[in-house]
Amino acid sequence: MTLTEIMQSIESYGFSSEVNMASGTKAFRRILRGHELVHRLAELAKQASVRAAVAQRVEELSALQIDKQYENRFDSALSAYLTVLSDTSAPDVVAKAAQAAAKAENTWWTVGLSRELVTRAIATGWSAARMSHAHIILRLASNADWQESIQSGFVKWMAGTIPVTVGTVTGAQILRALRTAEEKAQVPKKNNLIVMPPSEEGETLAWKPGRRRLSRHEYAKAAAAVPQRTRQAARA
Amino acid sequence: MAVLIGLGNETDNTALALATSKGARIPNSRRGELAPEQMREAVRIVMQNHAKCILRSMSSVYNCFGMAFAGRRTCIEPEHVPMILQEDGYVEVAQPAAVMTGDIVIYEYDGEISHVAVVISNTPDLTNGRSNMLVMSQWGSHGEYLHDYRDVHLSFGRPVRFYSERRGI
Repeated sequence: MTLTEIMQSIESYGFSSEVNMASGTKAFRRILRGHELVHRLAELAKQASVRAAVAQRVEELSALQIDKQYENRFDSALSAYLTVLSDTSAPDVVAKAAQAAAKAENTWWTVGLSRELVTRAIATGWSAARMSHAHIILRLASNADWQESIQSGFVKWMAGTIPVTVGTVTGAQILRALRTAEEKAQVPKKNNLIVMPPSEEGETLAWKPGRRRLSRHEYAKAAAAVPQRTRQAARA
Repeated sequence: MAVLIGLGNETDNTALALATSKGARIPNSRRGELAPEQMREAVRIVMQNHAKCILRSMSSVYNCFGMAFAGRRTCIEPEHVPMILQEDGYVEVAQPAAVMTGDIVIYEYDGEISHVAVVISNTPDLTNGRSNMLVMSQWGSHGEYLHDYRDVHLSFGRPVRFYSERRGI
């Protein structure tokens, strides 16, 4: 199959129907990754020109006008393309594609995947995802008080004037802003935990607000207690 | 990597205020309807591979867990099912023969909950000592079907446990 044929098949109703059999996010991603067309595209995407074509297609599909009373018919295709790009492309390309896909209307699977990739871009400091940071965070900032808190915490970071990692001062500001935001808006009253949706690897993070920051020694001790396999999965 | 501020939380405007009978919030999110031509293709693919299934309804707003636990209004991720079963007082029914109409079947794929179906009828098959169990479930976003409890899409795995919310059993 040529690249064009593969992409046409991925954008067909048939492909969408096959992968949309999933009952949940993990199942969807499992089915997607196991699909022959995705394998074939990933194989072709070893070539830079193919990766560029896929990234370009993500931008095109994301910008298409859709019938807003229905789900975006390219939702599955966008997720497939983002999955292939995330496996084969440089982080800045992935972040840019995810940023574009996050703007696609009425998507179901793609909105979660693009948020995840954008969040990853935030954590690793890829400045190409700057607008996505703003898009994701400010879109969710429905309460004025914590919107303000986020804005003040993120101003340097979004300006992109310094390289960002979670270890930098700005990174600490990001975490502080997120904590403030989530304390006010995202914490279930029942257990006072911020529970984040599970990732593709099955990881579920819980963050207890107000928990004391670990010292370097304590962090090293805690990290050593985590099984090697888990840490490898987290890094992957 | 997890999504920091995710779908289904209280701040998600596609989520319903949904709780267990004990009051714990059930994260959920409502999905849009598939376009009619897309839904028709999905149903065709289901029926092609599972000819004995009977189509009951074509909607993609809810998934199987939303059908069983949220009155067909929204989607619930499988990770929340153990909490719902516990909070809503479901008890496991050990023997398939003891399963009754209204009970549920939990499916697992690779050790993880992957699907749920609601039992419509359960009659013994005297020829082989098994149960003829007719169930109803939502297949992904592809509509709701009546089917034998063993006749499901590969991605749903296999039926592993039965539960009932009946009191006094």
